[in-house]
Amino acid sequence: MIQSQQGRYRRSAVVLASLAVAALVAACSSGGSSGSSNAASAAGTPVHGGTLVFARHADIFSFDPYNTQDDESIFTEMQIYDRLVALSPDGKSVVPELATSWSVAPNGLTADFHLRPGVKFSDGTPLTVNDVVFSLKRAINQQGSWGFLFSPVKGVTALNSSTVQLQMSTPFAPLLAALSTFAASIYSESNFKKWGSQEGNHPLGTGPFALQNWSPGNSVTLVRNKYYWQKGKPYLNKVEFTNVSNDNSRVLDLESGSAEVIDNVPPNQVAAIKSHGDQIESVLGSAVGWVTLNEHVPPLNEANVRLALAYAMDRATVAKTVYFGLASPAKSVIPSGTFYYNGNTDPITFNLAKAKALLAKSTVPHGFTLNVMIASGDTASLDQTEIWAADLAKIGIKLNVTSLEQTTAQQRYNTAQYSAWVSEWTNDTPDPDEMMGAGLVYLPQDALHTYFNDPQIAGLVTKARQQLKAGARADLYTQIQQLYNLQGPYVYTVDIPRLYSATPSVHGFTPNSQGDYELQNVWIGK
Amino acid sequence: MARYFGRRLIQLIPILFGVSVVTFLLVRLIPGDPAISMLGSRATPALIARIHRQFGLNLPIWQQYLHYMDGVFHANFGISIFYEQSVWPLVVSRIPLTLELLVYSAVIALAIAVPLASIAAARRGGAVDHGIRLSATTALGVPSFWLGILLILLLGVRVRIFPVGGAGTGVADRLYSLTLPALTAGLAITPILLRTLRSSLIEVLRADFVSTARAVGLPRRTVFRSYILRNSILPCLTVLNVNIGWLIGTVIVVEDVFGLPGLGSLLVSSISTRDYSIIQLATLFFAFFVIAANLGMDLLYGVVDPRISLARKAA
Repeated sequence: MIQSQQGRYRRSAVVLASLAVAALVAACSSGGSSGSSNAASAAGTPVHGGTLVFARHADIFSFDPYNTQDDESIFTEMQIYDRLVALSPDGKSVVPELATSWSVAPNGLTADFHLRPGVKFSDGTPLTVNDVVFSLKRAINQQGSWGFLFSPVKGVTALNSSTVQLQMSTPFAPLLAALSTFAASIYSESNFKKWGSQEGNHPLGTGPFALQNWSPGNSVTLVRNKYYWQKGKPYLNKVEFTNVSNDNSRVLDLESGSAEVIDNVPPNQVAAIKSHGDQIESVLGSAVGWVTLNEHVPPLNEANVRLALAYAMDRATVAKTVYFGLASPAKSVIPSGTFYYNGNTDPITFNLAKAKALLAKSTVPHGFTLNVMIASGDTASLDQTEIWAADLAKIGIKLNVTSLEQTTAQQRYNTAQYSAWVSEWTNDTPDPDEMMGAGLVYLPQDALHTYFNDPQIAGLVTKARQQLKAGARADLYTQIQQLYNLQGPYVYTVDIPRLYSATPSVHGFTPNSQGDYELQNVWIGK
Repeated sequence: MARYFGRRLIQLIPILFGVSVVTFLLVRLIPGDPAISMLGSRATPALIARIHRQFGLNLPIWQQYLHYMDGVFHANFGISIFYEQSVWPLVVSRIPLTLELLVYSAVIALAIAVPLASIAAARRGGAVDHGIRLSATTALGVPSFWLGILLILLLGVRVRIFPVGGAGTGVADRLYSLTLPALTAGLAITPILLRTLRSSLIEVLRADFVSTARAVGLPRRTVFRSYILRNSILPCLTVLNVNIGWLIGTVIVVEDVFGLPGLGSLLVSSISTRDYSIIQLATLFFAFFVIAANLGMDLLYGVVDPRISLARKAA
């Protein structure tokens, strides 16, 4: 789920014209705040039965969390598997799921999880402590794509038939958040071993739905898990995820009744969809649009220049015109749904006089030419950059914009052959440690290829990672957010929404801040 | 005949070999690393190296090609980087839909072009002729992705005659579901067929044997069907044959617009992700389709025009 204007290959990103909007909504999840117009629809008595057709912009690739790379696979796995813990509906904390309770040792080096009794897989076999140990051992494997989310976790053992212990090399505050992600999904060990190399196609979990059929490129059909541990749920008999990559086709699917829910709604069609009577679910909080600046390219090595660029970014106008008011101006380099997000740490406003004053203090007081890279077809980034360019021109900075095909652009970014790259960050976990560990610390990726290198901030990121007391941790993150705003390693723009639409008959569809559709709560009424 | 057919089949081998070399090199020469495409912002040097090792992308290109060819001779076309599965079943499962769409499109294109061209030729220079020719020229400029959306809007949403996406299950449902996509793709080549057929019809209309047929008092209908149309359809088939590659290109776009899980949509998404093995195999199949269609059309000439003897041509 990571960043996405950059990474979606797979996805949509991928595809031709759909890329534009896809890039926009591509991201991952959301959080907390949600401009839901269907809050009321959760009311009423849930009805059992029915099939929900959910048209998505991309197909899935795998059901194995170890290899999973794309959002659609992730969100599908969220329906099939459970995890020890889950994100709370408001996205602000972690609540029990397969674990009913847990305790962390005072030194922070072990954490014990007590398993919920009587849980069964969707084939009726009981969940055992060995399944949990097996799944988590794969999750923490540093050879896997997601091992980094659990890097201080060195071991997983069963203490008894209902308790699992995780051992850490250092205290690790992001642990619970990491365990709530798809990467820590729990699956059946015996089923996994039975299928060998084909296990990615034959998932067996304890989640609300089980896989019935996957026709690659076409659809994924899930059926109700009749052994699901939450009594009475799920309500739906079946969920069919269809693959409709073209944005317009997806909207037409909704309007013609071929689909009950669609994802990646093009922002420019939201008003029309609402007027048609369908619901719009806008999930904010997991993705933030930004411009990464390569500090190896002068004069971007000067904080005054970077801050001048930030003060010239009219975030309110971008939110209003580029995202049709569906985005909100970003106030931090982390998405607003991230734990410990503090929107009050942002001193940067749209102020060209201030930008000019900052530039005057740099080695390029009269301006310079900045090369900006954008993924082709990413119209949101292009529109945003045009607004920025018009304002920057007023203080003597000229933007030279290059559009490159998605993967090519990504490659140039990764190999630091760029000056500025308009893209976005998307959380994979609600914990700020993921973004800050990658984006504000020099190793292992040169601070996300910006070459931002501030030992004080890096030290605070490490300290916050090991601080288990929530209050003290919040203080550290507030301090970090204040500090980097004095240096402007990223020009952040807006909190980018994930946009879904559902027909009026769909009730209870409120995706959470990790992008989990939470379909166990969804039912179809009249 | 059999000898001719055999020779054409043998010619297939160097062509497919050439296509495989070109595709193999092209996908690796375009910038963009599949590992980076896959990992996004998680692309740490260690993870990139692991994926490169896993898929042999760390080897020199010539070694990678040898590995690839070695696999091909063992009927192993590689593993998809994204699906982590053998590409053969992934690609092959997409073929039937694309073939059905191709054939259906060609049939629709002919079904529209033949009557319209006949009318235009018969009323040459009149208002109807001008109208048809003007429509054809206009249609030539309409992009398929736009036309597709328009047809969905009109016949799928406003008037709900056709489904707006999906491929359907079962023969009847499949045919029904593919009607709009096939119409969209068919309309892309209809203008070319129509114009070719119209001009060859006009030419034949002036031929002596047509005057003779009329002079001996054969019914108009018989003259048209047996003398004029039969002689005019040959250039039309040639044009269709030449444009089969273009029709395939159109079908790729149409698959995306209609969300059809065919070979085309798989190819497009795999190019974006740099899923090398899928691109290579899918391209091979497309090349094979073009060659097979040309061969099929050659055989069809013989049926339409007995003067063309393939056996003699081959000799």
